[in-house]
Amino acid sequence: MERWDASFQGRICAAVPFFQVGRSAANIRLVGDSVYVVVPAFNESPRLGETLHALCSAERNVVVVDDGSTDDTAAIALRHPVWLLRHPINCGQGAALQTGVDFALARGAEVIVTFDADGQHDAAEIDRLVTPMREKRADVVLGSRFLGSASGIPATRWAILKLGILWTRLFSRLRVTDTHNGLRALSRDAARRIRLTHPRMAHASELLDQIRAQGLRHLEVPVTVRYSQATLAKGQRSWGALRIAGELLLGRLIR
Amino acid sequence: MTRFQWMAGTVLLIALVREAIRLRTGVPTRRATLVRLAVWLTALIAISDPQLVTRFANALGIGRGADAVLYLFALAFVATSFYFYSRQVKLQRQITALASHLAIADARRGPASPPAP
Repeated sequence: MERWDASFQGRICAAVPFFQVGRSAANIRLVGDSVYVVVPAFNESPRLGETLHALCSAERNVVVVDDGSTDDTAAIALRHPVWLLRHPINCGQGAALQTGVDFALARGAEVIVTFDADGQHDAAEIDRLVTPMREKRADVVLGSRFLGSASGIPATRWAILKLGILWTRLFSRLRVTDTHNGLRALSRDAARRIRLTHPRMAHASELLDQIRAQGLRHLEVPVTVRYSQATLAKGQRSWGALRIAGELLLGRLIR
Repeated sequence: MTRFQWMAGTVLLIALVREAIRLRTGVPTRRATLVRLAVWLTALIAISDPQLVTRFANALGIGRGADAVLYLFALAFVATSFYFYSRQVKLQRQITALASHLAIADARRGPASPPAP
């Protein structure tokens, strides 16, 4: 089993303009190797195998960040051709994403795609997010279930997501049709400029705040989100939206 | 003096003496000890002479000494809540950074090919 040499990472970052090689060229080449898919996972053993099976058929560089799971998430991930990073404790989805993004950047990723572990997303749609990057039309591409489809979405979840959109338009002043969608893509430059400090679920709103604050070009593409009994049971509770709102408001008061 | 004043006064005196001894023995957190000393001393004076607190409240335009104490406690509660929240956020970020560092340093790669379905 291959292991990541962290000291080697430090050396290449410090000594060799390794990452600038691709970027300094007039056209950034987006070959398969420069796209990294980051999958944060916490106690996802019942669904992770299926998600990774589909994902590994579509993408070569998959990074699973096991966020301190207490089940077999790590063991299941290691049966697939993926990189596995393990948080020793549960830090939250935002923290897991940031860890995966940092790792992908150190590996020389030009595009970083975030993808939920619970099988809600369709791996075949990743290309739809990467294409605008390839065409240099955006720094951040956000998947939108309201431009695409959200099969099996409960009415309460629909209403809360719509309130979230209203919140984003009000506070982040960003005209988006979906928030808190785990399927999104960041260019290398955007990933380096955005730092997620909210370790838990508020990171999705924080990301939108930073897109605006950093003046990054963004666009939305239609994606499919599939809800099932299992994903709804594991996913966020509706009252979690109140907690996110509280975290964001306090985060604005206290840095 | 009432029985409460005797009881509270005794406890506060013991606390004062304890802090004074800590100061003399040279504790590393000298500033914190001095702040605690000031708090115990203020409490001792306020309990020993309630009229003093009333005069202080009147000087601030507040009717009763008890109201002044309540307002001060409310302000102190808000200030300490913000302080501890900010400390908690900072600690959480440090722990997250540490967890992230460990995760990246110990990254593992799965097999070259996926398992058979």
